[in-house]
Amino acid sequence: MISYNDVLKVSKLYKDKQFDEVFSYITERIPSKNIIDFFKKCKAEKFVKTNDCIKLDVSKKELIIYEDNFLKNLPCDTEGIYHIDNYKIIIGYPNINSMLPASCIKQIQYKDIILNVNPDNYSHIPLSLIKKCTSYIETYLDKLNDTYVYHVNDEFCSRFSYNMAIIINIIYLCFVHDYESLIQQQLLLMQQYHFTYQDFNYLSINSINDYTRVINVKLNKNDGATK
Amino acid sequence: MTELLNKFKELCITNVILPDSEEITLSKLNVDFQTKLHSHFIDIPHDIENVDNVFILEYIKFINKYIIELHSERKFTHRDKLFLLDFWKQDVESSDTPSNLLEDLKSIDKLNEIKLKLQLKSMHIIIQFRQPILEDENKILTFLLEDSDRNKTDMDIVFFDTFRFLHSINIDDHEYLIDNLSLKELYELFLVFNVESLQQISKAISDTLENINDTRLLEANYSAFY
Repeated sequence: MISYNDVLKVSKLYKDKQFDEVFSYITERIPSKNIIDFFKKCKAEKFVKTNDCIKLDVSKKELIIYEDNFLKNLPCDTEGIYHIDNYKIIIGYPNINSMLPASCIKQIQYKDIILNVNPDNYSHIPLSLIKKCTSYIETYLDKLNDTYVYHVNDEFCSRFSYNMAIIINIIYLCFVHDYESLIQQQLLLMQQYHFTYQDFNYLSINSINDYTRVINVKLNKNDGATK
Repeated sequence: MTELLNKFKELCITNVILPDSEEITLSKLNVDFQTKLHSHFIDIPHDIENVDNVFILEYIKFINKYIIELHSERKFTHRDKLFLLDFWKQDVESSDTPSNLLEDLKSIDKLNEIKLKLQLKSMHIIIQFRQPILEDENKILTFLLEDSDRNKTDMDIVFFDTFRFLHSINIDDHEYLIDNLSLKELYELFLVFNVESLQQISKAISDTLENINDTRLLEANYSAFY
């Protein structure tokens, strides 16, 4: 789970333009098998209730993006087996932590020896072999690039492209909030309602917003009764 | 699993006889190379002006450094670099087309024979050329790249691509050896030349190296191994 304190942390990093750190922080908090898995998990964190949405200012108007409009056309997570030279190679969607084509290679089998490929062990794979996999890798990258970051309609849409800036933008849309508002909210709950700082490690931003909503309702009722 | 990794390591290690630096044991290009290149590129701010020029200069510097680090005691030459780039490209593309490159690379020696005469305003200038070594190329690149306040214009590329080949400049019978000038002085000297003179210097180099110009293009093509 991405906690309130996680959101606070990435919002501060983003505010300070530490974009690489934003990426590292979130990818550590959300371990994933590959980029598809990562995006699905981000989406699940962001859209908990049916009416959850992302609000964007586009052309001085508010654009509301619901779950169905976000990361539209994200492909299903599939892998394929390809016979290249004397190797049997499993290729799939890339890892989130690497922008290199090699991260699309999941397994290499030579006779009975199997190598499960990951960024910790792929450094010795010759580029000549990677080059032979390129056309297969590109089919996965092409499908990935058919995704929309959001697609409300043909006028209000934003295409995905496999690069770090767009991945960070997706993280921003899912997890970054106004930092000042977050600490004000946190401070209020700690001062007035005895939340501890550690409590925010175990509660999501949605849960905290629920508490705040209930508190506001209660305060409004009290105000009405006083009048 | 380790067995396959070892097989890849074995596949990558090879001995190559370089045109100027004799035999060397090196690794064919692998994902480790791509990872290092990627890390090098990722540190370049993408929002700066003339970012393409920065990428080109940084890529050449990266390749030079990569070759220099193959064997720190050797002075690798420009010819060694072109040979290696071609070797790596043929390997990555699994090409077995017979190459005449080793013979063609001998044209680099002809640079020493050129005496280019230029007239710059009232000054009579004679320029002599040489083959650069990679350490010197990287000194020029570091000089160009380290000044972050200055835009990396196309003229920086021209400066690098021409003045690295200069051995001396004779102005009105006074000879200035390039090695005796600081890079700042050399750059200031470069700025004195008009476009026409620079074109003549560039033409003298590219005409001499005409038969290896395709390989020379690899030098700045950062998509070749990325």
